[in-house]
Amino acid sequence: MDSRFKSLQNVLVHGIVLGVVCIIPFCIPPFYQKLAVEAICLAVFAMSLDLIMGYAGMASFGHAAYFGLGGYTLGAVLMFWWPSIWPAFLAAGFLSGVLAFLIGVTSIRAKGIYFAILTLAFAEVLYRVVFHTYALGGSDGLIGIPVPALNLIFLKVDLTKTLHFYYLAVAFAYISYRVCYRLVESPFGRVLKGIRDNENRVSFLGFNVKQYKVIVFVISGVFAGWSGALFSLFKTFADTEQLNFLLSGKVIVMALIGGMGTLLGPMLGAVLLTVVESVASTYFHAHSIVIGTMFVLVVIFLPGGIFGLFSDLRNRR
Amino acid sequence: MFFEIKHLEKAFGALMAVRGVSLVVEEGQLVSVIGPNGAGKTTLFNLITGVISPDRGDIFFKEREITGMPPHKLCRLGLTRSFQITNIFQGLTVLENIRLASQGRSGGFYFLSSISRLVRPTEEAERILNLLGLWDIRDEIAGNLSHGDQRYLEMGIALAGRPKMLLLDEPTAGMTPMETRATIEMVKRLKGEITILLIEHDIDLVFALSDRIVVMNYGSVLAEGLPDEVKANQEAQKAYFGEEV
Repeated sequence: MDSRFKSLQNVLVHGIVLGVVCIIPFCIPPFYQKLAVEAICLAVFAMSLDLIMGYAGMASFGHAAYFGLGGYTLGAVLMFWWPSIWPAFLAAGFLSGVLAFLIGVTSIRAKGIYFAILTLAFAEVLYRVVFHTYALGGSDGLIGIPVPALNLIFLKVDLTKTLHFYYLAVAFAYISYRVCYRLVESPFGRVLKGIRDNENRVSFLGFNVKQYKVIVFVISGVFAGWSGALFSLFKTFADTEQLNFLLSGKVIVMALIGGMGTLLGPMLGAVLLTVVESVASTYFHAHSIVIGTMFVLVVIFLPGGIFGLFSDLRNRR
Repeated sequence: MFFEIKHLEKAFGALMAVRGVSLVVEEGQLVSVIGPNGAGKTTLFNLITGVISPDRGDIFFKEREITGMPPHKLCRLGLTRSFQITNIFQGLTVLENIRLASQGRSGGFYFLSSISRLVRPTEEAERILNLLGLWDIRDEIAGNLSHGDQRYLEMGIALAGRPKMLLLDEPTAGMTPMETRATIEMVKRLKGEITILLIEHDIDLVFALSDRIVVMNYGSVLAEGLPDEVKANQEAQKAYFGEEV
């Protein structure tokens, strides 16, 4: 009875939140509609980082590598091979996953900060390689990615319209969230939390810690790749900024401000940061100060992030 | 032979931490390893459980060579350990700590199934919670428990994999006299069911429960035998209890 009530409550909450999210584009000007799409892509990106950082305790300082590779792969497939959305997305997820596997297998030999630095180094290598590859547009990136219509059997979605793209992004984000939520609440997810809390002990319980770490790293890389692919599809370009260390740093800040280890927190953080950054930059030249101040305040006063504050309030009640 | 160590050696730089240790444990026995601090007892455990690999020597468990085997494989073979320094999952609840441990034995990956479907590990966890008297605090976050309860949980995690052989590293470390007595009772109940290799400083526990006792000093075995034999051994007395006794 109690659990049925709870699941009914869950359905209601999900329905209301999704409903509000679907109405939002009608209440905001076109510029902010575009910003919202970008924010949703970044939200999934931040959530993918949360999978490894918030749940398995593995800090990746080079997560932009998968986001960027996803974008470039989608762009290259659409421009040079096959102007159709599905194969482009499949390729983006696949290649990002392969890259995450290669970097993961190599980097998990180290722990903590050494692991983080290795991921950063590999991401920088990829960035430099792409930067100097003229076939991929060098420092300009792939410009003018064609945007074919999305064929969903029963309806065709015209992705050149911001509003249509918005709903695609919402659907993508919601499905990604549900999959990741199932994952972290599964027995597999419990092992990840165990690794985060006490990696050494987990191996004495019969778990192959390295295998678990590589698997979650690959899953995270695939979601990062898909979010990057969606981002590039929307922007119709993939450039080196998408691979850059600055973005790797920004996504960590997003996840921390939102609240690590909650999935929804990093998503919220990504949306918030994107909006604040955009609004602040219309008023100040030095808008990074606003983000920096926000970051410092959250780290000092809300160690659980903004989402942590919500759940604190709910527990107190 | 159920469990056997042959001529095990490990040096850390110039320090010979374990030198030529040989040891046999029969199935169902409880063998204690005693000796002063720094005698190499915990290093011996680390060598057996694959935390570090030995320079020389072999270890056999159930007719199989296990020298240098990683911990997760040993655990699946049925050999696991508890730790001297409490080594639990601070952020998980007591129940989750033990359920995680019993989940590990199967070795499979469960990506998208629900945690509530883990019927067998959950039942196993409940059995152990009752055994260790942790049932009433099963939903507490492990990091908030008292030291004694954390020590029980430490042992519970080791037991949850249903090991054939258990290495207990000072289960009574830092316990009050009452908790120590409760622990002795607990080890007594496990004895016979599980083969146990025990490191312990509590002499009452050691002499009350051991089938055989191994005395270590400076990395090597000084004396070995039945509790009464060890009690009568002059050298062991000197090493462990000091010259005066």
